[in-house]
Amino acid sequence: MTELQHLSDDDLLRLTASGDDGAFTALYQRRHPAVYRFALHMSGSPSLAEEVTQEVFMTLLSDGGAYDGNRGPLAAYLYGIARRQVWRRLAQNRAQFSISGPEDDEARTPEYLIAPSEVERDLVRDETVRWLRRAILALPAGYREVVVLCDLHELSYAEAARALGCAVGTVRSRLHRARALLSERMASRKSSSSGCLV
Amino acid sequence: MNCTGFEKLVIEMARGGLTEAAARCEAAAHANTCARCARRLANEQRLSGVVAAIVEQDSQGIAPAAVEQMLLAEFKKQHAASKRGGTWRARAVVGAVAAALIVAVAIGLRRTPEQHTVQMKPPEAHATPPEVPVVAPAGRDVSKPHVRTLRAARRKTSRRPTTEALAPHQVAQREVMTEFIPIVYDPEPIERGQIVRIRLPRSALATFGIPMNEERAEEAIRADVLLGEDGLARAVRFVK
Repeated sequence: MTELQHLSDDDLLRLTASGDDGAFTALYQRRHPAVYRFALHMSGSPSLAEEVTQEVFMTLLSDGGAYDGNRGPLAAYLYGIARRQVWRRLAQNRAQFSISGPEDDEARTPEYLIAPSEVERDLVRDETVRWLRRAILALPAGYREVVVLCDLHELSYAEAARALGCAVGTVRSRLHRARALLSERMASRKSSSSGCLV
Repeated sequence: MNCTGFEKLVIEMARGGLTEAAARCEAAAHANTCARCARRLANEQRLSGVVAAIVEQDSQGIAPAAVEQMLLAEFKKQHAASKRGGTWRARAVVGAVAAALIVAVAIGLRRTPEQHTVQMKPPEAHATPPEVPVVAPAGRDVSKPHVRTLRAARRKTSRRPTTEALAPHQVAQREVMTEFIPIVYDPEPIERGQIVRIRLPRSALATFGIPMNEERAEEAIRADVLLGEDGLARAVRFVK
């Protein structure tokens, strides 16, 4: 397994195709956290994230030949599959996952997303983190995915563009608009909180 | 720099992605003189700080182990199935050859022995071709095997010269054949026999240990089947 961990994604995929289950395990362990977290950040649902992760790697198993290393790295390919799976599931469960706004959605926030903070003394900050999670989930999906990829997953614009199958300029402009929305909402929340305190 | 120019840079500034020092200084200078843009920068920086906290909290988030176990089980199942599929394909090839030979045998049995006589040496370990090779035109389907006797070939030869009337060395120039490969391990010696030209999938070559191009496995290849007096197939040779 240690030797496998030094192999590239493409090499692991080739070994996987030839039936090497160790290579598949190594590839899964390397790439599934990003897939899982992407689906979780996009949906806010751990169960949906599990389903998407499973589906993405099932697709890779059954259709690994569709991956072309010349068109981009495997990570971008996996994000692309995950994205389609998330969109499809969100469309199927629109009623369940439709998000009217961060303030109205507290009751639906999954337990996973309200992870115990390591800085529990800073309750204000912790509350702000929880609020921002909900605010991101409340963004239109097109804006949400660029925030997830560029900010939460720290992908470059070019990497995000490959994963989304769009131009770098599109990623940049969507991120700009999404962050402007988030910072506006955060500012208005802060001012309303301050007003309450006064 | 004006407010419009600042707005274009503010997010990159807050994300720490504005690497150009001159632009960064210019934007900072503008924020010092414009309260609105200064607030905008402060909001973006605050947002970046909370985003960083989320990234930190989620950095260890992984799918439950059950997902990996399920995928691994599916992986093993798929590969086990593909191995079975390979064995099945090999069996199918053998089956196809056997079926073709049975058809040939059946047709051979329908003919009377007196009409189809080819003087043959008994097939030895590697059966040698008959003294006078009987060559049938290509393109015959196994459903219509082309059976030609030596006598019939001679009759035709006397009427007009054709490919079939060519001397053995001339025929050999046109067709490349393998030696006859015994089909049965311990063949009964035969005095007479006949050759039936059939078409088989190229993959049949592999069945007899002859190297073949996997990509052309589905293509047809001609073969001559040597039938004994009892109608049983004794040997086969492949023709190119």
